[in-house]
Amino acid sequence: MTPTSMAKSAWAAVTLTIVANAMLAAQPDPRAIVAPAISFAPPAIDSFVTASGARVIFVENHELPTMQITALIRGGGSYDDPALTGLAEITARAMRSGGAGPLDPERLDEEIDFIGATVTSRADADKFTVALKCLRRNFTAALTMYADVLIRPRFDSARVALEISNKKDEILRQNDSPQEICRRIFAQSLYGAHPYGHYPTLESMDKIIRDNLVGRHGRLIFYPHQVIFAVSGDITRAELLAELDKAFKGWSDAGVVQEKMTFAPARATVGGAAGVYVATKDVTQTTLRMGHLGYAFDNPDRHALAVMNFALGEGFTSRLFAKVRSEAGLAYGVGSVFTTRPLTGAFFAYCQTKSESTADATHMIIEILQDVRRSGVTKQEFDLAKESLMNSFVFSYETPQQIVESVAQSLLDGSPADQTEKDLASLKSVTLADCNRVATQYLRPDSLVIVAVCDSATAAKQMTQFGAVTNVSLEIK
Amino acid sequence: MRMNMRKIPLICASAALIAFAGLVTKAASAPKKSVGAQGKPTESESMRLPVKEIRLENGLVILVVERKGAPVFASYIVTAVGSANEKPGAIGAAHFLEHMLFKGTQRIGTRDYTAEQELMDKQDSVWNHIDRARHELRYARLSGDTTKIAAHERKTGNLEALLDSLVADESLFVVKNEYEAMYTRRGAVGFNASTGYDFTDYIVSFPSNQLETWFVTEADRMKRPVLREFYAERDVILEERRMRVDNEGEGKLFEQFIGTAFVAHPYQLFWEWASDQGNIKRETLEAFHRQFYAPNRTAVALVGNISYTEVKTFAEKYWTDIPRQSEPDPVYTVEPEQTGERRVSVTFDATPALYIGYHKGAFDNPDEPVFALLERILADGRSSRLYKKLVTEWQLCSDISVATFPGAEQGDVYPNLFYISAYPKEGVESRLVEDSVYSVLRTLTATPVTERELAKARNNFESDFIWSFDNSSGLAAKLAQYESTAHDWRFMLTRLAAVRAVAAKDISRVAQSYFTQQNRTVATLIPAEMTPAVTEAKSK
Repeated sequence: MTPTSMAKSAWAAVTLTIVANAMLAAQPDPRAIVAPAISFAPPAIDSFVTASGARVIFVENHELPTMQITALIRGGGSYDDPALTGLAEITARAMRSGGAGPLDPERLDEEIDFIGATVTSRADADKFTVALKCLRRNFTAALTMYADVLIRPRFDSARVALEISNKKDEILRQNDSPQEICRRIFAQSLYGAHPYGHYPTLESMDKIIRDNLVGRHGRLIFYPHQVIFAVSGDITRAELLAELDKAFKGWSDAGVVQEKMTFAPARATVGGAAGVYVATKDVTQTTLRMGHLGYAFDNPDRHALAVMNFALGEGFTSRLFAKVRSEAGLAYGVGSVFTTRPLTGAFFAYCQTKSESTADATHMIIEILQDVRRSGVTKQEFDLAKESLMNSFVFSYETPQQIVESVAQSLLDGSPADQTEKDLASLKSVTLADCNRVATQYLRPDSLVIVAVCDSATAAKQMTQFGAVTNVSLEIK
Repeated sequence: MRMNMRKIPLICASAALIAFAGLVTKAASAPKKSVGAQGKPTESESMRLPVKEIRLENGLVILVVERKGAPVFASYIVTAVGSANEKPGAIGAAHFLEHMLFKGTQRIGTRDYTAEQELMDKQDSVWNHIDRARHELRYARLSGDTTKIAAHERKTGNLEALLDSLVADESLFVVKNEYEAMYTRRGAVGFNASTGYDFTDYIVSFPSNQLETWFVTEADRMKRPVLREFYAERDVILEERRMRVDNEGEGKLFEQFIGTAFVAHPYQLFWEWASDQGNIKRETLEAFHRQFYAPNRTAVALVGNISYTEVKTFAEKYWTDIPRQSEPDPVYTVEPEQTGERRVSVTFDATPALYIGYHKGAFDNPDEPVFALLERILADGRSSRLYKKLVTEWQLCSDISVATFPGAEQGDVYPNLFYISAYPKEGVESRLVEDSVYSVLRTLTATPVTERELAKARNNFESDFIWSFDNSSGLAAKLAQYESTAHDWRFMLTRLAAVRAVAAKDISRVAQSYFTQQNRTVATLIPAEMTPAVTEAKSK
């Protein structure tokens, strides 16, 4: 650039700045906008029991000509016999795919698809979820099939075999994604022998037979007093009750000799061992996850922990995001999470960074954890976190189905139906002192399970800086 | 593609109704044996959902749906710009700019904008020197003159160190993530953005009392964005690419798949090239912003518990002074007709995957409604043709799906791709899966779809359509994206009517003319079978 043109552009820059400032002055500062107060009464939630004895949580809503029903049932994968890990998941899948009531598998698929309805059945570690979505005008037909899936599944042997075969295929694909590998190794290392650390294997799949599914479904789980229905949609209470009683006619607890859930897990007091776990793969980016056991869903400190973690690692405003991403440019995804589970949840921080900066990113995250544990979060961080959580709380009530499912989940957990309102009150009472007390009490940056999925040449050797490395084999059994 | 071709009144507001009464299809009169077809249209189905419009003089369109329920609203801003507008050397500009538009404005995110601007100018000037020095270093090395090489290396190193220190100096002026903090503090959720091919979406939901905050802040972002923290963000984007493309088998395969299917049209590009991304200049992004981010290229939808009158008041108060801009050139490049099958493979440490694609027309092609049903006939639900045969009966793959690329969510303004993704089971040759897919596609012409099959596909299309109104953010997305694509959100209703009019013979005609060997591209992922020994050898 010649001196002349430089001078010119400097002049232009000055002029532009003046104009811009003049324009700026004419516009209000968004930070100064005072939002009007907001008031909101959550919709009336109806709760009643069907003739069979199942609890229904219901919100009537006529905005769209649709219906949604979700059944929550305690007893997911955590209750699997360790030799048959994955049984709950296969049971759930085969309930939907193996035919039900009068319909063989192919007919059931066809009839559900024909009316554009969806029936899904799945199991996670702690519960079964069986859900229906359909248009109101098809509700009677859809509900009949849904009820059959829930209480009269046929478990067609060919479809059971197909579900097992597809699950085995999924297991064979479990090392495709670095993030999947990292998640799995972290859970296994963190929970050790506890069922939360169990993953289905080819061996466990090979042991599962149809009788296991029938037993799991029939003897243990699907009885009226075990099921909570969360329902919303274009229907009145009277119509809904009549439809449910018709579809679930004959379903009862009577005569059931409920077997003890032999493998029901106790609260996790044992975890795996802290340490550095490395799995190598031909990648150019390291996937990191580091953490330790967290707390149970009903821990009284959970609201203070939510505020603390928001400041530490949630969203675009957290300390982890500001330091690791915005300032250092070391990661795209970075943050921290407390998972809430009926038994003990987990705490972990995560990021993905290029192989060369693996140690830098790990050090940076550990230092941030140490700092927050030692000195807490600042008043500004606390205020931002608490205000954010309080002001966005109204989104817990965004859709009627969300509201009924949240109440149903509270009841399933043994909490009161108005748990959401209680949560808001507890959140409101969290102080900076609470927040920093729980940071010190719950964060344990000196005994972390650190998992890295990375390449062997550049990144793996950097991990020795954080302790003795356990190499985790990716062999599929 | 000209956004200002339509006559736009100064400020006009009108309302149109989406009537569900018109959605009832032959489902109600389908064969008796169907247990699912008992439903009759009911009164509640004639429920109406009004979409109200505000069209500003500067070309900006705002669509409003007032709904009851929790005091929240979803916002969706769609700007008609995406990777289809990028030029070689700056591939990734649209995505990079999308990231940079979260960095604040002349007011948000800074302690002293004037001083900060000076610093940014210095950084950019040093970067230009680095750029030139690296180029010169290459030729110095070619000369073999060691003194010269050492001098050039020193010079480059010094400049890089200087840039690092200038980047570090930014912390003196930057209020980190202030834009995000301001939104989050006021209760925002789902604050995000995404870059597609024909549009870039800016998304956030708020409690209803923050409507004015949102208008004022977005006005500030549209008028005075500052691309600060540029050099750190350049690295962040590369990490995003590593995560989504370089280290995920499917990402890698898809990049090659579309790069093979398209030889001319910019739909061939998947994410950025790391080399372009690593060298892109701030001024390039600023120019890209000036060229494409204009009110006359922006469609906005607001859905939730808000008042149309209030929206109109704020729009007039805060958005009318954003100047209309002249239209940039449309994408002139037309993908030439494919004249033979194209195949590509990627070797990667992952299990096999297969993509089969066929070129098809743009969103306004008359065959598009037929493809909408074909997607459902082939792979929507367990009773669909491909799923039933390949997954359930023949057990060749664990899953199979059908989609359009880029698709309505990323843009289908230009001719695009209909494609099938399949995941062969262990021990099953990809070729066998591929041939089996072709045999199922052939059945579309050999044994035409039955009326019941067609009714099922329509029922699913219509059911999906109604369910898309369930979620406010989803509805806002759909309205704004249709407005951006067709210059009229009502096109979604036109499409629905067209889908209802598709006949069985249309399905076989389209299958026959598009699903040909000459028109297809096939991509396969071949597992690398990485053993530790192989890895070791490779790293040396």
